[in-house]
Amino acid sequence: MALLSMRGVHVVVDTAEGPRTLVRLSELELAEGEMLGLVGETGSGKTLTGLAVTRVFPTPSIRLQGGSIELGGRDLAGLGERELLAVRGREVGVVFQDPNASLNPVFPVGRPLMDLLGLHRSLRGQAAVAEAVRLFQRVELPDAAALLSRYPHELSGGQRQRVMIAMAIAAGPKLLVADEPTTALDVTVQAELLRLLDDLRREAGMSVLFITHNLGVVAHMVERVAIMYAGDVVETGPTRAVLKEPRHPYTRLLLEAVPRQGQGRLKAIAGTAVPRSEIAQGCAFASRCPFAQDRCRAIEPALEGPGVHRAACLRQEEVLHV
Amino acid sequence: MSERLLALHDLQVRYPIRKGLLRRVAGAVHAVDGVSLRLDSGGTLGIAGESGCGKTTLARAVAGLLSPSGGRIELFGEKAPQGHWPLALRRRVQMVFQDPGGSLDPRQKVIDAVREPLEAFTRQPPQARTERALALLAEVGITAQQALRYPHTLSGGQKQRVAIARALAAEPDLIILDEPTSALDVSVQAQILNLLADIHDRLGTAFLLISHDLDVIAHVCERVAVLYGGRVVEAGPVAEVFREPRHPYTRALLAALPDPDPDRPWRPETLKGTVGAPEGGVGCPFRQRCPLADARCGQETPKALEIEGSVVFCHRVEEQQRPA
Repeated sequence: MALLSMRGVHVVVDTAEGPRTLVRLSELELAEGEMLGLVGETGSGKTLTGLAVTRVFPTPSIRLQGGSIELGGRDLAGLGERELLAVRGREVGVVFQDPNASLNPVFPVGRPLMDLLGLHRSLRGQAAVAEAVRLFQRVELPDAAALLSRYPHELSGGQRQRVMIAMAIAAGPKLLVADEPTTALDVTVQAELLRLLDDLRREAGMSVLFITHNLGVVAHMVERVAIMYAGDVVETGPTRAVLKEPRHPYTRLLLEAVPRQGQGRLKAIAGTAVPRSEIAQGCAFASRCPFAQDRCRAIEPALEGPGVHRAACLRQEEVLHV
Repeated sequence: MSERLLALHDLQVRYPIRKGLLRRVAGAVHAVDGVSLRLDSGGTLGIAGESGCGKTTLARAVAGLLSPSGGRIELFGEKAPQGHWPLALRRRVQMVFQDPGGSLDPRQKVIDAVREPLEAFTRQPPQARTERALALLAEVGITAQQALRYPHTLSGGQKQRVAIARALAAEPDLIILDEPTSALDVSVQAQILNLLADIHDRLGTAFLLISHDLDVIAHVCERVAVLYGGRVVEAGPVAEVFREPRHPYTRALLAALPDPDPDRPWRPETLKGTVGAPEGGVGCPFRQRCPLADARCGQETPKALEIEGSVVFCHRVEEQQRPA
């Protein structure tokens, strides 16, 4: 059974001209203990999709307009702000891209973690310290006890991100939303952190929504992937199938845009992404798509395909065989 | 064709560490610690490395934006002057920065941003400058209509195109590119990398490309130098270094990079510790994190060892090469 099931999730931003659609997600499911890669470029809506789960948006003008977000059978979209407080951090943990922006520079790094332990697990005093040390050790931070009283600037970027992970898992959530957790880090540090995330998932049977733009990381970290474009999933399926035999032209072009040695000219994707709100009808990718025909500009394709590998493209069979 | 354009001899850049109430100098960060490299005219050299390896400091020193603490920079066969550069030299060396938003004046129209270097470096009449600016912008894919806008109306990729057009306006012999595509999406990065390849093919401009992204360096550059702790650990032709990395750090760096092809194995090594500020001194800069380090690595700085067109600085590699 799916732990997380998002359907028709609609996120808008309020502007002077009325609400503009940022995300209009047809569907997204995450099984228990599964790590799903949510892939997309800037503005694709991947981060907002992750944030929609706990409804913590960057500004008050961005809000959830509709849709259902079922976590373990309960619809989070219908919950009020008070009820959501019990979900945030406790049932759903979140790790953001920039660990510097998430840690308060005037407090030691152990402080917010112990606050969380008090809030979610009623641990205080020595019990909280002991648990905080255990969590720091679990995320493989060196000299855990001493580190609790260190300030964020005394830690490296990788260590700060480990602190964020310790906080995200402190209450034993069923779901971890990891939004580009390694993008700000060097490749050698990234590799260690990814391994840690995968270990934690296995150990706790936790589901992870892994949001990234890095196709290389996706290829080796997740079993299933969903590719987003202009606020919706355009292709989803087992990672290997999607990366080796893409059915959507966008996935295909994205893979071909990754530079490699001695490859000659890269196949760049023409033009720039058009926001969902500016597309009156048809496929959102049609204006940049080398496969687009008149019908693509008229009919909005649904996610379909043989079995679990599905794409939102009317010409997917042709894309596959070119 | 293979005239020497840039040569670094034992280049050193140190930043003072100040401590206490009186801000006394308590030590120094050896950001660049004895780097020797060369770049021929029309060549492309990539500087690879992670945060804190000194690659940006190196780029800024070559561009004349900061003064070296030691060693020598030779540009076009002559020693680069300390402090303010003469106009002729500034024209020949241009720089493109990582953040295209930060390098363009928000109150200056795109066309004026490109007209500015033309004004500084050429004696063309105003009308000719405008035409040249529009032509340069067209070359990088910016329309005449976009040229009349302000930078904030452009996307990140478009801004970086303007920054490149601005650098090209000076008709430089060398463009220093400091992480030119790091702030961009993959699909936009591909457009910029293609543009750079076109410029190199058509104009023969030499590039010094600084990047943490080995794929980008492999795509753009003929030669690569891998930096760690302010020093070069390995340098050579891209094809050679990436096919057979010899230095343990180069190996770890390449192994950590996951390929989008799920069938290519990904076996990242775990390195001990974290990157500290380079302190200089004797020994290999990588020794604290190196799986192969021994006592010798802390007592003796590895010397340059030439193998098949590459240079490697490692005692272990040197010991392997010795005839038994």
